[in-house]
Amino acid sequence: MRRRGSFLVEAIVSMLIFTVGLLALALSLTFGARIIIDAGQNTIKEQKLANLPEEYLMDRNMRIDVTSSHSGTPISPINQKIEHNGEQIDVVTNIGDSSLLIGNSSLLITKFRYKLPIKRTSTFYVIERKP
Amino acid sequence: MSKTSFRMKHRGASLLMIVLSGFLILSMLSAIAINVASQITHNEIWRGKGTMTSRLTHIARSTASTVAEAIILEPEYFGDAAAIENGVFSEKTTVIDDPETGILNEVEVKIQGVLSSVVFVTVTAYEQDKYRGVTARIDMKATPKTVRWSIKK
Repeated sequence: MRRRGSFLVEAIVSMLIFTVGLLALALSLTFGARIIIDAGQNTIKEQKLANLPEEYLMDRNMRIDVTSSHSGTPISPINQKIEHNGEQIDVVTNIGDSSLLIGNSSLLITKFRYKLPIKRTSTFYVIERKP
Repeated sequence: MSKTSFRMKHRGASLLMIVLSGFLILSMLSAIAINVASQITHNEIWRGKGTMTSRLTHIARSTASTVAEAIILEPEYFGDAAAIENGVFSEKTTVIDDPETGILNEVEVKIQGVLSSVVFVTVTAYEQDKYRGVTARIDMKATPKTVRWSIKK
């Protein structure tokens, strides 16, 4: 026996299922869009981070003759910061000293790490001679 | 065939059709989302490789700078003129062992040249199976002393 209104019930049930699927997809798209916006901001910070060791190495190369009176005051990695949205972000950490044995001579070195205070970020290192 | 008899014979057909078309639309949208995610992942892998290359270059360059500064400050720091002419080497040494990031970098240093004219400092930095080498050519006769850089891929 045919039940009256069965088509309406079928349509409502199927639309409900479809709406649940669409809502799930919309939520995932919103979440994805937020991640992409954050990623854009992080990419700008990452690029600024990548520039810091470059600036430091270039400055150091220009002052490589430490005996020269024109040597001046070099950039110290520890003072390098990133400016983002008017904020100064600390990104350089002194990660300790060690020595490098070349031939029979030992060279004392200090190591610095460049890293943003966020997860899954690029990391760079530079080495400086410990006075 | 009347409308009523079609519904009687194919009960649930409309539900099935709507669910199937909904499934098709959702599948297509999901496929687009998966494709975008996959492209982002590929991009991240490519960027990761670039970051590793930059990291190795920075370590090699800063190590070479450190050695060059020591030579400029005290030319016989790593050995006398004869030793430098024959070449002074280091073993492959771990310089970065960072527990916070799990990154481990090693370097190898070679110093060779003539202390009174030109000294070459070659540093190769290693991470996993990748390496990057730089050479600093120190002009010992120039005032102030200058360094010319070259890179080995």
